Amino acid sequence: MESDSPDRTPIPAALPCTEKAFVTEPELDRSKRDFLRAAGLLVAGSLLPQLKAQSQQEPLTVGSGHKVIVVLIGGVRRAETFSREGLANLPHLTGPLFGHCLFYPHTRNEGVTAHFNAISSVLTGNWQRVDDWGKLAPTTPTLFEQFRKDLRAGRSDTWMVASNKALTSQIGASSSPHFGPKYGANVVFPKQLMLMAVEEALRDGRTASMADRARVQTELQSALEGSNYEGLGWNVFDASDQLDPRVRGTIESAIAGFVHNDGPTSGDELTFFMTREIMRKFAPSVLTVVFSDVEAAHFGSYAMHLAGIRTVDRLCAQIWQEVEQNPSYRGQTTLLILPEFGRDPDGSSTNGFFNHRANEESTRDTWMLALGAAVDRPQVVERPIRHVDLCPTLAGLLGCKPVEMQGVRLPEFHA
Amino acid sequence: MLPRDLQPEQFAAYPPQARQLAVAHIDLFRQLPISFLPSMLRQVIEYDDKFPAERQSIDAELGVLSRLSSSDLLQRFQAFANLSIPSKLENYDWVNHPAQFVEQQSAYLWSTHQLDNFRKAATEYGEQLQAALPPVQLPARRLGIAIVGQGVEASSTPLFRNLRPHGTFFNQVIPQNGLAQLFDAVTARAKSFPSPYAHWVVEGGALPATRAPGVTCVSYDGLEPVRSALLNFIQGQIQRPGMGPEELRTRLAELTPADLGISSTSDQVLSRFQVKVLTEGSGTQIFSTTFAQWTAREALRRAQALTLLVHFTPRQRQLPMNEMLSNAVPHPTLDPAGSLVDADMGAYYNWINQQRLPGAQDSAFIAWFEGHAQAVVIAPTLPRGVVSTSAMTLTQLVQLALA
Repeated sequence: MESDSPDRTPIPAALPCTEKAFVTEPELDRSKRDFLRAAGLLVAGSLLPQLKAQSQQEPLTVGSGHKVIVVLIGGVRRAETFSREGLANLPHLTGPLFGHCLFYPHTRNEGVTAHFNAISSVLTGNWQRVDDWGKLAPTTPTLFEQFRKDLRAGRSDTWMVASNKALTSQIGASSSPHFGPKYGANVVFPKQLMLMAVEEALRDGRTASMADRARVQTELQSALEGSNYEGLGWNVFDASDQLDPRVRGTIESAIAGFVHNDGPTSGDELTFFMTREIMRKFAPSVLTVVFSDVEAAHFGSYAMHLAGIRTVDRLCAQIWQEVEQNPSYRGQTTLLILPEFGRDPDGSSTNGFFNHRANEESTRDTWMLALGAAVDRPQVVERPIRHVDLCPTLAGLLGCKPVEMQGVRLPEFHA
Repeated sequence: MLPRDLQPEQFAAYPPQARQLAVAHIDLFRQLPISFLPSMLRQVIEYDDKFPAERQSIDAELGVLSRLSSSDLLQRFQAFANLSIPSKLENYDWVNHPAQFVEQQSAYLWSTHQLDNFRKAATEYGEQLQAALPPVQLPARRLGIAIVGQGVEASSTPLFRNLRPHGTFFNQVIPQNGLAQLFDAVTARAKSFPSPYAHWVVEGGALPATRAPGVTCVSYDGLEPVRSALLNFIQGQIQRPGMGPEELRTRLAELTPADLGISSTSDQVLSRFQVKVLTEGSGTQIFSTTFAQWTAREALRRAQALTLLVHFTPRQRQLPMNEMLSNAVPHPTLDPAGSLVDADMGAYYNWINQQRLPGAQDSAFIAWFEGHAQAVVIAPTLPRGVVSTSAMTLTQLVQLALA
């Protein structure tokens, strides 16, 4: 519950570096070896041509036929991810997947390090500076709008699925007079459905039922049916008060998968199941997924924050697995995985990893990993890139006409 | 209204000592820019509920500013005066509601791209102030103690990884009776260097039945009724139409100890502190590890504790947030292993926060894995980044840290 209010406390002097590792610890050694092995694969560049060769097997839909999926991960620091100590939290991303990827170790958020602004900056190619809580739409067109307007794509071809409670449906379209909601994306927040179900169960005295997975499914479906879906903050197919039947079926399938899966039942897990169902039912060309279990850091639990990182590492691998297995995506899809920003450094006046608003490298300097059709060869690109560079790059892959924006296309991507 | 128009009677609603302080410095206040003065009044209006260290800090700051000439004041606050503040905010009752003014000012500065300039001005002001203040003389070496890992048989990860480079790691500690030995050390220091709110125990569980004299004690379990009242309040607020995070924060800032059921016969300074810990620190209401870390941070920052023992205990496992906020689970299951990870990081942050205070170069810190043979001791007399296999009790480690 900290605020961004002016603080008269002077910023403390930097503390001595504490990054020195105990390299004799066995699990760190193992992580390091895995990372080096993965890096070795990158140098060899031996695996990706196989992926590339699988492209173009499916009929083209609109534009180039290329599909893009952007996975955003909330705030994670390098210290807990792509550092010697952090690699243990990313067994999937630094494991076999890493050998196929284009990796940018310095991917910078140079804008506002709050969720809505960070995500809308990625989606628009311009540093957005609107209300942090999503009361206002981005001021310049999103990738969704550029794609839909330029290539006359339908609404079902652009989706945003997000766990983050700090987002609103305003994230799907800008306030630009030449674009706007009629070209916007479908936006769904599965976690809100879960929260609503819990609230309703509590309100009606059915708390105990939430411990039973079968009853959880009932509660989730009841929440879906018993309320105006707009209360969830969603915006789907412009329907004013009821869900499109295709969407309802998709959500029910996702709920069933979520409940009957033996894994954990966090918000990100439900977001994954919803994402996978949308990929299977609608196969959108532009799909953005926002995971936010890592934001447990705001409640001060380092263990839960680390657990959130490990969860999202696994879910990213599962999304890639779906891309490879789904004929609508296989061979013609580029997947980007990146944090929205880092988190504040240990020793910051904002209590370190709890928050993400210090103007420090720990908060701004993150990373990005790209997989798929647009990646000619695996490599590590040490040159710093910016979040706003992603939108023009993806717009180019999709076949959109260039729109003026602050970001520039990344030359390592090839349609 | 602008500061130059201030009149003594405008401070009539301030608590007695705050009013006296404000009226005594009204000539100074009249010369300060409106972009700065409410931030200062936010401290002054709470003067009666401040810790001695905070009062000394406010007194010292006002003393430094009062000694400046009008032209020096003008120069010192020029960067603040350059900030544009709208007439709507000027007309706000910033004398009686300085915190609310500062919140609105923050939003306005952000929306007008002036927040960076404000921060720069505030940072420079803080640095100039620190340089003008006399050095603080401590009666003894500051000592921090963190006890982590209650209920954990064996740690699955290397402990104290962040702290070990700064001190000596002991792996043959004699754990028997260690908890009592550390509490006794705090009691002994409170007796040797008596001072109000100088010696603290922050307990993640329940405090022992007998309280040591001169030791300020705060416990997670002890505040259970207050936490429960607060969670009910939050639950009620978030169900109100239009309630967003910013509005909720404002409502929480207005809560008093009485609102949360704390008796008026309690220590009001400590009661206010506890309410602030619970209303300003995310997660302090629901996770004992977060409560312990944040309370320690605030005890150091605000009371400048000379001795601070923090006992981390297992927190509840992760639940959906609404389930926790609803208080629907009276006896949640605990997560000792996860709590150890939290506490390990919390201990590191405690040490960092301790090092921000005067006397940092001479301070000492002990972190111990409860019931086990592992501890790290940081002290100016001990080597850094080394391992000691000496068999030592916790009492001996304290003696070593303070030698």
